[in-house]
Parts: sequence; C-alpha cells; structure tokens
Amino acid sequence: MTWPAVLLLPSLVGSIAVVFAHPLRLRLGLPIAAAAAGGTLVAALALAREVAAVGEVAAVLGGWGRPYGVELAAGPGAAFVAVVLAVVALAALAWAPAAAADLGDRETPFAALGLLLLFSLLGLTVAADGFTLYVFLEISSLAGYALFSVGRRRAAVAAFRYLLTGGTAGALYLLGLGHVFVATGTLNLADLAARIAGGAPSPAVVAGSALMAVGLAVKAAVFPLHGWLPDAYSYAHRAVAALAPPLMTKAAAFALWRVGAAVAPAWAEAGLGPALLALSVVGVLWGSVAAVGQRDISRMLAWSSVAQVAMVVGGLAVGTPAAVAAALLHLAAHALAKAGLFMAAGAWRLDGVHTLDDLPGAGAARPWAGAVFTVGALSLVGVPPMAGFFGKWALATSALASGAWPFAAVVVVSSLVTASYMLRAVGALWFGEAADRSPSAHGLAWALPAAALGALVLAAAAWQGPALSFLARAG
Amino acid sequence: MTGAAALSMAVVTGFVAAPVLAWARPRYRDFLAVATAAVSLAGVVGVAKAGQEGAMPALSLAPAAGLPPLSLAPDGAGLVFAMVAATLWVPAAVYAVGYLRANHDQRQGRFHAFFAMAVAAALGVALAGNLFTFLLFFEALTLVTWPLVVHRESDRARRAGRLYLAYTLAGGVCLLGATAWAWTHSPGLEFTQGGFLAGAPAGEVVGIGALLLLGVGVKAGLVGLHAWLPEAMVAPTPVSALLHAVAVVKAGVFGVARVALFVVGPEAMRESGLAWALALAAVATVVFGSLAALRADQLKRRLAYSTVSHLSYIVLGIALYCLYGLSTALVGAALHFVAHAVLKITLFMAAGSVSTATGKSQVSELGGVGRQMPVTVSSFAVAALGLVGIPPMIGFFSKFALVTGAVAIGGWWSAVYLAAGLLTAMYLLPIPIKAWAEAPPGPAPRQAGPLVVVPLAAAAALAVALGLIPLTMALP
Repeated sequence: MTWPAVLLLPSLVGSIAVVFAHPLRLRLGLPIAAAAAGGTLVAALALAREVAAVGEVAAVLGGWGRPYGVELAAGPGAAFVAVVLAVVALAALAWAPAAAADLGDRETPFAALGLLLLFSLLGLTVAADGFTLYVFLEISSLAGYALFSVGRRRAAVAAFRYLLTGGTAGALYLLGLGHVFVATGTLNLADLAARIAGGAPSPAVVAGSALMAVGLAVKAAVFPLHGWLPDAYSYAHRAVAALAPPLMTKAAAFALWRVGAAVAPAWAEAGLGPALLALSVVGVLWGSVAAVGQRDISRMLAWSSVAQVAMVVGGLAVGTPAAVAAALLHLAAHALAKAGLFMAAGAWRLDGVHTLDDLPGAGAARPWAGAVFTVGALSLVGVPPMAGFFGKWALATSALASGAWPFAAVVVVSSLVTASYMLRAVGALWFGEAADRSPSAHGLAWALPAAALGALVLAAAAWQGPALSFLARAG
Repeated sequence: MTGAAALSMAVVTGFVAAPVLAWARPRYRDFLAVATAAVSLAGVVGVAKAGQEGAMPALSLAPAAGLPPLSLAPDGAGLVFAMVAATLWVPAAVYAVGYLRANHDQRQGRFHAFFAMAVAAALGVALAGNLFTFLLFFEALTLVTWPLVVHRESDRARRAGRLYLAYTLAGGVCLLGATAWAWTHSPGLEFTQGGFLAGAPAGEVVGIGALLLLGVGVKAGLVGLHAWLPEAMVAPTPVSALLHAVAVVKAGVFGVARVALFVVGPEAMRESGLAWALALAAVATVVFGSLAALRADQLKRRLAYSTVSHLSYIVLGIALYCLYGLSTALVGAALHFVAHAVLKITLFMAAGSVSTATGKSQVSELGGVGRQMPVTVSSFAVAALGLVGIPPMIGFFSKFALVTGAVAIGGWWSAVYLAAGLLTAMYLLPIPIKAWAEAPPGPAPRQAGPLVVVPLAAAAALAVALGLIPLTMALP
C-alpha cells in the first residue's frame, strides 16, 4: 500500500489549492488549510491503522528504486508522530481564521506556507532515504523562514538568523550524506543499515554521519545548537506560534533518531549516542533555567521548548525500545500542551498582555485561555493526570532501567524548575489583582481549537496506554 | 452498600463535588459542602464496617502499559487516618461555612471546591494500596491546597503560596524520583508489611528510602523542611484547622509510617541507619518546634509551631519502633496521630472564632476574651490541657503510651517527651489563663455565630469522649 505517500497528499494539494483560490477573492485560504489538515489527520490515522495491522509500510515513488530512489516508509514511530503532527496542525489551522484575521492580504501566503510546513514535516517523518529527507529538510526550512518573518517588528531579524543557521544545517547534512553515499553507494536508510552492519565503519561513513547528525541537531534545537529558537518563536505572529514551534523541532528530532538508527555502528564509533545524551541533560537544565529568567510569556514558552525537546532527544538517545516509545509519548504530550500554551499567550497579546507583570486578572478576563494555559502548564511540570506526567514517568523509568540515571534525575528534577516558572505564571493568572482591562471580543472560534488540545492533554490517561502499546510494536 | 462502592465513594465524592461547589448558588453550595463531607465519611465508615466483617474492600485499575496499577487497598493504618480526616471534615465543613460567611469572603465557591478536593486527596493518600497511587494523591494534595493558602490573594498570601509550593514540590520531586527508582525493583509497588523493598540491594534501599523520607518529611514538618508551615497560616482558619493540623501534615506523617514500615521495612530502616537519622531529626524537631512556639506571639503561628513539634512526637514513635521493635511506641504514635488531630483542630477553630469576633490574632491581645467568649475559650482550654497530656482527654493516653514505650527503651527518649510536654504547657496554658484572668478591655463583641462555635465545641467534646473510652475500658 502507499499510505505514506497518501499522507503527504492533502497538505501538498491544499497548499497549491490555496494559491490558486486566491484570485477568486473569496478568502478561501484558511478554510482550505484547515480542511487539508483535517484530511491529513484522516490519512495519518489510516496509516497508523495500516501499520498496526501489517507493521512497516513503504511506498516507492518516481520509479528510481534503491539505492537512489524516492522512498517513504512508516513504522509505528513514524505513524504516531504523523498523527501528532496532524492533530496539532489541525488545531492550529482551525484556530487561524480567528487568530490571523489581522493578517489581511497575507492570509493566503500564511495558509499556503503553513500547509507546506506541515507537508515537509510529515515528509521528514516518513522519508526512507537520505536525499528525500534532505529535500524535505530544505522545504521545511524555507517554509519556516517565510512563516517566522510574519510577526512583531523583530521577527524579520529572527527569521533571518534562522535562515542562516538553517541553511548551514542543511549544507552540513548534505555534505555528510555525500560522504556516506560515496563510501557505501546507497542513499536508502534501510540499505545503509544493512551495508554498514558488519565490521567497523569506514572513517568516511563515521565523519559523514556525524555531519548529518549536526545538521539535524540544529533543526531539532539540540543544545548548544538551539540559538535560533527563542527569538524565532517569541517574535512570530500568534497564528504562526501555534503552528510552527510545537511541530518543527519534533519532526527534526525524530528524523535525527531515524538517521542515527540507520547508521548505528558509525554513531557508536563516533560516540554520538552518549554525546547526544549528555547534551540533552545539559539542554534540559539550560532551557529550564533560562526560562526562569524570562518576563515575556512567549519567550518563556520558547525557552521551555528548548528544555522539553532536549528531553525528547535524550529519550531517543537512550535508545532502548522503551525509551524511544517514552520519548515519542513525551513528544506528543509536549506538542499538544505547547500549542495550547502558545494559543493562550497569543490571544492575551491582543489584550496587551505580554509579560508576567501583565498577567494578573488575565485568567478571569479570558477564562478559556486561562484554563488551557493552566492545563498546559501543569502538563509541562508533569502533574498527573496531564499528558506530561506520563511522558516524564515513561522517560524516567525507561532511563533508569537502562542505567541512564543522570538523565532520569534531570527529567525529574527539571520538573521543579519548570514548576518555578510555569506555576509563577499560573499563580499570577488567577490570584493577582486584576488590572482594569476590557478584553476584545472572542468567540468560540478562538476557544474551541485550544480547548480541544487542552482536553487531549487532560485526558492523557485514556490514550497514553494504547499509544505506548502501539509504539511497542516497533520491535 | 458493598465495600468497593463505599471505598470509591470515600475518595471520589470530594473530587466530583468540587466543580458543583465552585459554581453552585451560595444557598445550595453551603449545604452541599457539608453534605460532601458527610457522604465521604459514610464511605469511610462503610469501608471500616466491611473490614470489620472480614471483607476489606480493594479496588485496582488494571495497569496501562508502562505504569504501575492504580490501587485503593485500605489497611488498619490507612483506615485510622481516613477515619480521622473524614470525621473531622464534617465539623470543619460546618465551621468553614460559618467562618467564610462571618468574614464576608469574596471567593467562597472556589474555597469550598478546593477544600473538598484537598480532603478527598488526603483520603486517597490514606486508602492508597501502593506507592504509585499514594504518590498521585500526595501530589494532588500539594496542588489543590495551593489556592487555599493563596486564598486571600494578598502579597503575603501569595508569598506564602510560593514558599509552600517550593517546599512541597521539591518534596514531591524526591518522591517521584524515588518511586520511579523503586519501580525498577518492584513492579506492583504494593505496600507490604515489612517493606516491599526487602529483596533489593541494600545500597539502593538506602537511597530510595532517604529520598522518600525527604519527600514525605516536608509535609510532616521535620525541622529544616518545615518553614512553609508557619507561613501557610496566612490561609483562612478552616484551612489551618483541617489541612494544616489534620489532612496535609498528617498525610506527611502517615507517609513516614508508610515508607518506614511498608516500603523500606523496620529491619532495613534499622540496619541502614535511616531509623537513627529519622529519630534524631524528630527529636530536633520536637525541641525546635516547642521553643519556636514559645516565642511566637501570633496565635496561629504559635499553634503552627506546636504542630511542627507534635507531629514529630509521632515520627519519633515510628522511628523508635523501627529501632527497638517495641510495639508500645507504635501504639502511642497511632494514638497521638488521632489525639493531635482532634485537639489541634479545636485549638485552631477556637483561634479563628476569636479573630472573627474580635479581630485579635496576637496572644498578647487576648486578655479578657475568656469572659466575652466563654464557649470558645473553654474549648480552647480543654484542647490545650489535652495536648499537654492531662486526663481525661485523649491526649493523655497517647502521651502515656509514647512515654511508657520510651521508658521501656531507655530514659533518654522519655525525657524528650516529658520535656516537650512541659514546653507545651508553657506555650499553651497561659493563653486561656490570660483570657480569663484579665478584665475585658471593652464591650463584648458580637459572637462569630453558631456555625463557628458549635463545631469547635463539638470537637472539644470529641476530645473528651475519645479519652473516656479507654478509661471506661480500663474499669472492671
């Protein structure tokens, strides 16, 4: 079956349709985008069902075949990530008609680029050969540059910075892929794994895979390559902030793990696994501590992303099946919670709430945002029964089981740091003296998508068990 | 009613009622707040009855992938705690209604909702059958108590809330880490007499045990981990009375018992030296708490330090049991667990009654109040005498058992209890004496109302009644 290819269709077709619908002047862009995201979710669920039934599903496109060809493949991990991407994208794009109303003429490019970003991230998740992965990497970078530049005054500078780092990252990845290709004669990840399985890998393969890892690590914002992230996330327009930040680093982290698994002997030779784990430990602490120092709400959320993604990467670096499943569960938990948090923060910005000092009374003024923010904050801290608790529990126990106790300790202790900045915000939200402020009118279109995400985070007890058993089929 | 239904009723009622309490109309809300407490108590009584008939109910939710099971499985110790918390919740709920009304509180719905959830979480802590379930309710207790501490939303209240969260969440992190660690040795994490970690390597048991004790020690107010408790007295008095004298702090002490006796095990506690550390920490806390109470002029603060000190009476009893295997010490600890709860809630409710009626909260201002508020101050006096250890109040028996246990072991330990009793007398008894001896400073204030005064008198009567039961049993 060709489900991995079908997965990519709605977003690609949708982004083209948005462009062609623009001359009609019917403002169809955002509705089309939401519909395409809905279609993507259906396709992702169908893919997951197929994977549950038969295991790994692959699709060969273009007729080149191995070792060059365009190949897409999805196992349980990829199918799960695809579902997560689709759910968050659907919520963010369904939110856009309300949140992006002030974009005016730029609505069309936003809708087209948002879908293109979704398309490229899905591709990054299911690409089964190194070059296809590179192409999706570049598309995601391009879509990201354009999207991040929409926003506050300083967004353009942040986007330019992201352009420079992202471009370098892509070049490094391609350089590494070239080394590997010359040394092994294949681009296909499965082929590659088979060819370097026996014996010690050649220096070219080791160097090449290290370069590929660095390239992907930049996109995944692995410490210390996270420099582009805080500015890009915090200056973005609210509609962008609900879409791109929760998704971009996640897909890159997953791709990083898949490449790492394909060239495992070379990674072991270069010591990349332990290095990545150590960097994650530092990254969790660094991101958390940096978040404590932020007064701007969006910026605080951005720094918290550095820490949370480091947790995901750390779980992937531990590498046991249980740890990988735990990392993907935490990936889902964080994506859902962070999208809701950015939505709440974006809505408050309309009322002039930018920093923690503006927060008092904001909960009463906009209860839906307050509720979603509270649920998301508790999830990031790891309070049961929110999704984040299950992610952290799975990460800590799987890390302990494989002896990676420093990582387990950091996962647990960072909760305290997270609590110190997230609960400070929650406290200000509900227990502060309200400033006299009249909120701009918000209807259901604002509240519903965020509330849906909040409900998913809150009801994690219902889906985390099935999700883990689905991921356990990875084998 | 089946035992299982009673068990879920005991734990779930408070959580289910919370949203209703938050948004119901005041008339129904106040009634529902008391009804919630009564229904939960009925649940606990149902569980106890079923247990007496030899069919102790247990509930277990099949574990999802990668998680220990959720389990409610009461035992004797758990039932004692649940019974204490649920029984005292009823007068405390009535008192809370009266107190909030009398103080014209602006956020009564929110208060009752979180109050109900907090006691329900404490009941969950009491009835949890494994360490994982215990952890979940313990953390829930931490978070739902936060809005109650911050209730007044003043700068001081918010600062107290931050301090409270900093301490209790740090404790929670220790607990979470230790629970995950313990899980690598025991997939069920079930509380077992003698400790479920019995088979684990000794070094790891010490690590897990120390982390767990640190975690529960925060709520138990061990010295060094106690700083949040006096500050949390900024909360409305019903919170100080039920949560910071009964539910929250007792959850900490109960946690110490759970960890020492059912997770690590008395033997491992002794051999690893943890029991010694615990005993020394408890002695230090008893002494420190008493001295700090002696110095505090603010009445609620003095009571809070007294709580710090008396909680460690219980902790010391547990530690002595681990060290010397003497069951009298454990009986004394259990009795004092009950005694302190009944007596301290009376003291706090009386303090709230006085401050509501007169606006006075300093000990030095209380001269003459006894003649103006005879019921309140008499109840205070009864509870104070009980806490000192005077018969026929329940406090006499708990202290008697603790002291006889300590005497059997060696004089040094009993000296701690006797000295602390003397200090308790020095910081508590002058209060009613001053209130009666001096002339009232002005005209009599309006009383706080029957909803405030009746529950506190009832709690004082309960303290006497509980003390009379063992007395009648001792008669031929």
